[in-house]
Amino acid sequence: MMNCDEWKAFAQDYVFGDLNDPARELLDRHAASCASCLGEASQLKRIDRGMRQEPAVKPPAGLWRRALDAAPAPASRELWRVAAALMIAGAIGALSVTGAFARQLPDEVQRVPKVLAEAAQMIPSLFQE
Amino acid sequence: MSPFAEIPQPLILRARSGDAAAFRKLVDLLAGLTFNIAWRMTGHRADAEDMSQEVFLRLHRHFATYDPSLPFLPWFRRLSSNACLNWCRDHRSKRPDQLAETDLPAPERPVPETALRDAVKTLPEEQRLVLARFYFEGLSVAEIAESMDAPVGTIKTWLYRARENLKSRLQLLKPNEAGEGIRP
Repeated sequence: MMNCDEWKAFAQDYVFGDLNDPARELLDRHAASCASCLGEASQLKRIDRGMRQEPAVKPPAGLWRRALDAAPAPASRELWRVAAALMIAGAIGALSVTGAFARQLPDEVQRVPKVLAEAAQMIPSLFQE
Repeated sequence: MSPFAEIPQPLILRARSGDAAAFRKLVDLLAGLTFNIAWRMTGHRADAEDMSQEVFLRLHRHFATYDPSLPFLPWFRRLSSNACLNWCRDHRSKRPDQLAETDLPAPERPVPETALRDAVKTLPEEQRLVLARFYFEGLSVAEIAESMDAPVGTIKTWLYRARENLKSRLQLLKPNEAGEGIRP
């Protein structure tokens, strides 16, 4: 014969139907003769029913607000930031190239007339008109 | 709106790509489910709103990690479970069982029939979440295990302990209070 401690170890399986038939019959026999364990089973059933009957509550509006307000800048603004960063990087690059070119400028300027003269000799028709 | 509203996949994809209007619509569809889980975990409307906002903030921040070839809801449940449990850990200094009655808006102040709800508030957060997923969402133990990234055995233990704890706490009440609280 099952005692109360043994019965209580299986009380939830008994109440929520997770037992095979022989085990259930064993627990049934004990419950039929033990008011305390029968009371436990009844209490578990009432808890289960109470949990299932808890009504749904209506959510408030605007639960998206914090997510969108606290979120990083939207993609379009991110694109502008990337574009601005690229423009700045390009400008810095152009300046550095221009600077390097400027340092070499006197030599190049000196060579311009010679280059033009050579070009004129190669294409005389350009200057005959 | 039903807490289990259908969520169209195109809406999920638009929201994931950064479309704010789609995100708002998606949150509206998930609000019932999320807020009710939060309500069952906190037992307090303002806290449930705060917890829900944290869930959706996390959704927005981590949306890119969602693989659209997989079902959305299980992924969202995992994300929301983490957010809810983190919220509870961050707010432990103000446990639900220590909340003053005046924290509750007038229609929700405890009345005798809320004995069960009050008992739920005293449970550890994992047990509260398991109860909410099991009883409100109607998930199986295996689905809860997936949503909480925990073994099935652990979820069974939490569910078992939650019911045992509720039984013990309700037995401490006078018989008529306990009886009213669980609405026999």
